[in-house]
Amino acid sequence: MLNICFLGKSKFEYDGIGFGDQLGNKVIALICLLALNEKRYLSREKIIGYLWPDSNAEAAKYNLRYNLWLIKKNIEPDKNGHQFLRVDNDCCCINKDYEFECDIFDIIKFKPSNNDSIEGMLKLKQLFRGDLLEGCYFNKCDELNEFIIFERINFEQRKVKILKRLVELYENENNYDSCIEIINEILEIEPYDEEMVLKILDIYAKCGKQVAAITYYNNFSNVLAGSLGISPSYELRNKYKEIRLTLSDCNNDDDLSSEDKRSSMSDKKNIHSDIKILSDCIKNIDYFWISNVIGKIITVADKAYLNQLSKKELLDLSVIQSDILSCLDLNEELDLIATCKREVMGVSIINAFIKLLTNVSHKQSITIVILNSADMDEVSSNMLKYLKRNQIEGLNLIEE
Amino acid sequence: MHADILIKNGRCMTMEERETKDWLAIEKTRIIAMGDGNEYESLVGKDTVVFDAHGKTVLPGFIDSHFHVVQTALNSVSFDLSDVKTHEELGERINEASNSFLGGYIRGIKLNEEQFEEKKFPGRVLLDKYCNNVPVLLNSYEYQVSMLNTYAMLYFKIPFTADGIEMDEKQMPTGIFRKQANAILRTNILKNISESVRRDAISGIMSTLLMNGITTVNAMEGGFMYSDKDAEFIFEHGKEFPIDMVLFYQTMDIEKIKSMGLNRVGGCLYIDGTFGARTAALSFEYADCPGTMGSLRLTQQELNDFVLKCYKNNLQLALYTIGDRAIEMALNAHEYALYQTGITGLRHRLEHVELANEKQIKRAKDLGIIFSMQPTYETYWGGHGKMYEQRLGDKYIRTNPFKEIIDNGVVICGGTDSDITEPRPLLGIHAAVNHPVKQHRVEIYEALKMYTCNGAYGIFVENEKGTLRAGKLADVIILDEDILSVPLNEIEKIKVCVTIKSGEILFNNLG
Repeated sequence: MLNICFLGKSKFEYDGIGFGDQLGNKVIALICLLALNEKRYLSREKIIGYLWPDSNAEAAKYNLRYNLWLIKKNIEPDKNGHQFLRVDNDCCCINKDYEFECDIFDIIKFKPSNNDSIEGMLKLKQLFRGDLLEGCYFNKCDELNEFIIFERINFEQRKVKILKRLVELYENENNYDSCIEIINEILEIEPYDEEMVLKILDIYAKCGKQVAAITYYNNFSNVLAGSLGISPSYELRNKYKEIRLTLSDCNNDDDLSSEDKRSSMSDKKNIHSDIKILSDCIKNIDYFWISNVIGKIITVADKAYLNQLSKKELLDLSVIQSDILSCLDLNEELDLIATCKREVMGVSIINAFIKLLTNVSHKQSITIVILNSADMDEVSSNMLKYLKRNQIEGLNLIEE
Repeated sequence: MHADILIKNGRCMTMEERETKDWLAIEKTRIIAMGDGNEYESLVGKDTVVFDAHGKTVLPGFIDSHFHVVQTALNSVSFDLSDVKTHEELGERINEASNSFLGGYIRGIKLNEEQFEEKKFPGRVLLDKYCNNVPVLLNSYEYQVSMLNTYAMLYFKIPFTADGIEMDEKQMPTGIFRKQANAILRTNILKNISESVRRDAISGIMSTLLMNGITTVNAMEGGFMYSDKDAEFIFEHGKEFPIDMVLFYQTMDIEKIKSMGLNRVGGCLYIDGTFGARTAALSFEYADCPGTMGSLRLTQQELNDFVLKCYKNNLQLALYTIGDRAIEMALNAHEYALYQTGITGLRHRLEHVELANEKQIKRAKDLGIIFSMQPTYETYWGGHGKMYEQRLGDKYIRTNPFKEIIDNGVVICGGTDSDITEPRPLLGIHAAVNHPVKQHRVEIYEALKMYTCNGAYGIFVENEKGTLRAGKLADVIILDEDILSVPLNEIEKIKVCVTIKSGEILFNNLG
């Protein structure tokens, strides 16, 4: 069967035997044009416009006839006797009944769906051997060159899409090694894609490979500084800090940065620092820091601490941090929620927050690292002052 | 014992305590004796090569403290397009180049949007009009922008999904690449340059360097806008060339530096950008772009951590700083690292340092930081009506205050930043002596120190080179004038007529 590859150096094989050398670049381009065109059809006039725009009408017609003859001569009918091309006085098209394989068809057909399988995605991935019509440039064929550039952009985007889908599928199967391998392939195409780097750090952290995460971040950070002269994004830096903080719990701090050292020194004062939270601030958004801390406590601390708060207190907190609702039986409380949302006062939220922190720090030491404290909203800032003034035992606050 | 080479009747400036001698003798790779009068006679044998300097200046070989070797070399086989004024003129130059094309692709360099009457970079449609049968790659002055014709768009691996590809109204690439797309494109292109191309290009510039008296360069390679392959090439092959190349690897990857066994890191390790692009970080607004103060590429915390790592690993660090805000940040980081470690004596450097204020100069002195500066910038951009004034307004008079820096005890080592400026230390010496702002001018001796003994100090080789004394490496040059006697405004006309590197006569125009 005929097998055609347009990605990478063009390849034409019949039952495994190559014959592309006998075709020439214009023939290959002609077949590629037909293959990529909707319904695999083009008028003779259009083809001439692509391939011989600067020839006079007679010469162009002759060139087309000759190239069509070359195709007929080199591409045999399929096993059912169908010719590869259908040609008439006006147009040329690839015979839809002709049986053959072509790398770009499957790729074009791809649309992410729930039926995607890893095997299927891997097959598609393997089809990307290089750029479309790699190594081809057609002097004075402006429209054709534009067409190739346009399609190269499309195929590059498709490749990234396919790889990203593969990452999702591997992630669903918790196959993290393969996931990282594919992300690295994406990063070869888009080396500064911080979303992908963030994913890698997440995966490493999930797998308990904090050292690998830190090494990866450092390398990426060097690449970014080396190639673009910039630092990693805010999100990435925070993720990195978070990972380092977890690592600093079990290692000595010889190689820690100053910021980590500060927190690590605080740890030493507070040997049983069981919970460590990285919190963040946004200017002028009331309660943001408090809300952020509550959100983090919910994810790391024992839910029992929340149960020590009354339902009313939990609902008060839920006004600024809706994740609290996951700890409540919503069916029973819906009316109450509505009521409390209307009536809750700032002082109730603050009191509930203090109670939550007191409960947690009573049983476990808790370290809250505050990033970007200069941006802290006013309510949270006053709360922080109160906490510092009253020094709740077991509560350690570190401002960045 | 007879000398291999004798230079007599010279004004041999030892560059030590302003001492001069009449003659100098070399055997093998070393200076074996220096003296006055005719004391040299016993050293002259039948095979001794004798140069009569006729009272002209003899100096240690120049040390160029900031030199992009691979970039200079590759650019030497590129077309300098800095003087074209219109797109049409550019097109004609490219068309001309394509007629003598030998294969590969045409590379044009040193373009600037403002040089064109059209005030914009040319896209591929325009480039195609003048050249569609050869791939054309054009680069802006600081490599922040690349331009390709359509052939090149299909010839190179293009990062089609990256940010920074300029699109036309049909959502097709115009051929102009900036930001990430430019960085990836440049990486793709540079990594495919073979070792032999690099080697040939570097060999090609050796004669120019020797003709200008350069016997040692600080090779600033790798990193942002360059290629790590450049640094790796110099690391592997730097010794194959006739002049000494001291590698400054422009990376923040300390582990890599350690694994390579290097004892220094940096060079153009960017803390800020350039005045030209208005990205140098200033403490005030650009005069020709109110609201813009340039930008810093790292936070203080990030820089502190990096500098601290360098101190802890006993690495000499060279940081790129141009604006006063970047200089401030770098000094803060050094103070922080010094405070944390107590480690001194690593001779850390700030590169360029074009806008240091008096307080910063004093802090640098206290920290033992060297300023690695490029006096030729003043010839190019300094003084009334030039780029510094356009960007900084009245504050242009603050740039490159050499005299104040030296008076405050900070060591300045001089570099050409080739190929941003020509690889001609004598032009740099002229520029330092003839600074457009009178109060910043230095005397000739101080300017010479920048490219000799101070250059040696900047790379810990003052016991080997940078001065003339018996026992030192025979890196020696003879000028065609007595530099102390020519009118100050004519220093740039002086030429090097002999360059001796490690006892080998590698350039000789004296006969």
